[in-house]
Amino acid sequence: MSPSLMVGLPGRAVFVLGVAAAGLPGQTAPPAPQNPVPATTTAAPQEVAPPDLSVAEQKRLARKVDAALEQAWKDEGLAPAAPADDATFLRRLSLDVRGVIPAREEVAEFLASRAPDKRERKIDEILEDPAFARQLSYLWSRALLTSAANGGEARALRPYLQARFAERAPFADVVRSLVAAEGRKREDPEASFVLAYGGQPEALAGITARALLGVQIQCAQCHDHPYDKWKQTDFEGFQSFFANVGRGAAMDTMVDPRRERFAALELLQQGLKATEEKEAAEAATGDGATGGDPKADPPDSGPKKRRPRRRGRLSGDLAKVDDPFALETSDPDLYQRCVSGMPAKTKERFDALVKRHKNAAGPRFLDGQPYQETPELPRRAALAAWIVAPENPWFARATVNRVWSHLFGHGLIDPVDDLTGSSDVVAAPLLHELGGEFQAHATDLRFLVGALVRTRAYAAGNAAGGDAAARAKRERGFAAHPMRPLEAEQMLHSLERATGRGDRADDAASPERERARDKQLAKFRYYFDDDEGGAADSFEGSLPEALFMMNGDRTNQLQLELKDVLAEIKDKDERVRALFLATLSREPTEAERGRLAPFVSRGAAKDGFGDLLWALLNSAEFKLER
Amino acid sequence: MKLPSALPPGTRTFSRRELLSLLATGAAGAALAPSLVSLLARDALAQGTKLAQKRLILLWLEGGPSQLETFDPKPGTAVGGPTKGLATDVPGWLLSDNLPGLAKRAGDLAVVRTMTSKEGNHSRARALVHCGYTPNPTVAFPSLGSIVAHELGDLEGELPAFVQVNGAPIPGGYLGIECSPFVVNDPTGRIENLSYARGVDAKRLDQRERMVDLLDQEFAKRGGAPAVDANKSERKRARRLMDSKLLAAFDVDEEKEATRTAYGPGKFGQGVLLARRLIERGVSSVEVVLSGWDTHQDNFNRTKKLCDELDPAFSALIDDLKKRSLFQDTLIVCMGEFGRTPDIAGGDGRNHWPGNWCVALSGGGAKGGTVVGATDELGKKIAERPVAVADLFSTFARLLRIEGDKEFHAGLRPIHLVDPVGKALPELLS
Repeated sequence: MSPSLMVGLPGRAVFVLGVAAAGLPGQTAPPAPQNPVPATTTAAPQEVAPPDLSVAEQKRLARKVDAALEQAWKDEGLAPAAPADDATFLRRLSLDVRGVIPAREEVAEFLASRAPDKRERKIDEILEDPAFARQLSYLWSRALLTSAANGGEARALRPYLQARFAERAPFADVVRSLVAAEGRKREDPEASFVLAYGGQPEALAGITARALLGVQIQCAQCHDHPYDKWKQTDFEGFQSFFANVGRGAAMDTMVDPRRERFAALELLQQGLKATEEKEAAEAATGDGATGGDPKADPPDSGPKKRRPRRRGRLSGDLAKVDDPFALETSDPDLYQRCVSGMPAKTKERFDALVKRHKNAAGPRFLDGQPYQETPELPRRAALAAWIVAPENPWFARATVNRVWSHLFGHGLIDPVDDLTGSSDVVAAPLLHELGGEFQAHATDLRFLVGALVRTRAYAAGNAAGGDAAARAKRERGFAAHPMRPLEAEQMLHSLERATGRGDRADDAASPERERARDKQLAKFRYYFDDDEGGAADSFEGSLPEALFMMNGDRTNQLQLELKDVLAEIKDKDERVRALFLATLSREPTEAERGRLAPFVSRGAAKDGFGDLLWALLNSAEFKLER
Repeated sequence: MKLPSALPPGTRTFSRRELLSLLATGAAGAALAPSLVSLLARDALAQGTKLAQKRLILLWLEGGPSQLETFDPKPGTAVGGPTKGLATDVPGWLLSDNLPGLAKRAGDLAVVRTMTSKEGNHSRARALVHCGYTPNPTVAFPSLGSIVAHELGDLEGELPAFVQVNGAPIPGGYLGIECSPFVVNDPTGRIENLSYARGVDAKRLDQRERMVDLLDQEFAKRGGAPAVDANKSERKRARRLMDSKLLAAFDVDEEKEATRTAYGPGKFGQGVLLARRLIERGVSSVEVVLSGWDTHQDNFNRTKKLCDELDPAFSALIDDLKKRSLFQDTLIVCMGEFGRTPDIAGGDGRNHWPGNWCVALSGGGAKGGTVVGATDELGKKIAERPVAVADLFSTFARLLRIEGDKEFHAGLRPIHLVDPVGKALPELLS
């Protein structure tokens, strides 16, 4: 971690405003050439009163959300669904926040409790669970990593995120670390995000804008965006921020323009010399042909006189060239003479230099603010500061929208990462307000999640009955909670818990287990994930998934959980109940008890109840969150 | 409207999706729908009107095979190493002596020697050459195998439309999870999770499924109907495969000893044999992966060893498909993510080299005895005819009769099935 970034890493007790927030010019725009962020990263951090992240404050925000949504329901004529029962609420909360279903004992205890504030207390408890950091790391590594990432780097990102979330780093600080990181392959985990797309400034520009700002500028990579406001020049300006991220290392040091210019001139000089030598040789053989076919490269092994390496001396015409990168347009004749005889390798190097120069030219923030590179504020540090600054028009809203979508199944704006282009918006001013609150509360994700899970909408039941369209409309307006298939991560952890292997006592803090799980997850993604292609609320599963659930060891071996149930409980009815609690996180209904009884009585107990556990795990209800 | 699934190979069947879209777009409307379905079904079944359906077998060489030790040798030069050239029956065309079987079959082989890309990183190059598009973090591109499954396969069939032997799968991406490959990790062994669990027979599984149905019925009453339907059809499909007579397709033990030997005894050879068996039984797309080509050290010995697996398997596949009259309709593609440096590195290795590398095609209408492009004397530069991956994919689309410019919506933007910047190679189209 570079020292400049340490400034922005507050502990829990004292909130320290880092470089981005300190002394920012407010809403009044600064004079044009000035950077929108201060040019120094060493400014003394300014201590301010810590923001109020208390439960009471979370509740205040929750009531604000309630009011906004209730208004939206009224406006749209949507009837809010009856509240979800305790069992549904607990399973939902546990899956969203901890990424795993609740343990059997926890469900029993929660259902038995008569405390009027038991949901509030459960929320407090679950938000403190170390598994919350893991769940957040899944959420953000999903957003930041795609199949276009380099495998090795990508693997390092999730554990890094989990560690940062576990120490309750403000999200702005995490993002600043990721975007501004300097480091080398496999050494600096915080550089894993930029290095995962090392050497591809266009990919970094696209994914950063989409995942962290919720804007789709990548469509403007090749042409102006067809229906959004983005122009190709926006993309180019944004991608320039990443020009210094290489394949092996991400350095944010400034490129010295004088050295770059000279390097280009030197290559042109070599080309010019080769052309002249060729012409001289042709004249000597009496051929008389001048100039050259630009396609005809002299063989690399040509007249093998070692060129004297005279640095700093340029021949006549070139000495007058001010901008070698623009030579092709400023003096086409001279350019032709330089490149026509230029050996192929030299030409490659020259073209690469021109491309890099072009890529690196003129970084511009997406709100149109220009950026002047200075040694004190290298480009990605400036970009990171601009992203997380309270004035940034997208960052806070994009973050809130993604978290909202994780909890509610839809974003306030859908698709979740198209803030500027989409017209599918619910309760329009609400996202703005929540963005402001998120910034005002130190971009603390626990505060945000804590507030959202205390809302009335989060506690709503499903939209039972009605036709599909009416149901979808209520769900889209957050008047009813949708059913969604479990994500691969939730499935892995929930199967582990329901079958009793591993984390009965949660071990989200054990790095060894986490590493083993990440490996297993690759397989689970093959079984369970619809990747980015499918609709989020489609329940269509894969053939490998079905075969795994039906015939795999996980659902068929005599599980520890089952052993425990059979050892602890002798009554058949109670055994059925225990297995329901362990899998569906609820009591069986009377109908279910009655109809399942004959099945479990057949044969040995471990077979009958083994069959029941298998059936519960293979039921539609187990595979989803509702 | 389920169609019998054990159709003879080459018969065009209609997937549920196609039928639905035909019904939806047809002016016929609801009243005429049933007759249209039966008409289509009868049409598909009628031998006389069947459309020749193409299939794909992709031999994927994971790690980046050396072009100099396979399809573009430079014997006797500074970069050639110990590899020798082997004359083929196509005049003037040399293959490496690591591929004696293919050299004899050069008349059935089409080789592009001048593939070129900018991706020298394994995972990105793997994605590019599998999917035909430069990897882009904002689009989940499907691989060639998934494209073929989606366009030509029977996604509702008893056997999966796309099977992959070994290797890490690339998901179906924007084409959907049903186009993802079904992975077989050991062609001669047990397929993961395919057989009944220990202690569970058909009767017990029936009973277990009855319990699931019972739970699901209750859940459907409480609003879970869409999930219950999906759960049911998913299990039904799995069960259908588990109990399928066509499962014998996966059993290479059924083949004659001589055939098994011809393909080579290893996992790869047997995987290619499995591919042939699957194609025969209506699977439209099979990818067989041979790993280990990333020869930064000891390139010559290691590549030779790998070629000892590749050459007999590829050769036997050509012979076998011809014998069974499947050659014309089955496109064999053999490629990896990039080539290797002409200059020999320390430790007799070759490093990554996306600048020029080779792809070999055979069958499926690809014109045999063709070689496209040439590299210079030392194999460092393309002397003529550089070919981009997009060009290659356009060629695949033409050969397989896939509409490459079909538009899909991947998230927010329209995407063509095959990158429209590519131009099919006329040399390969017969």
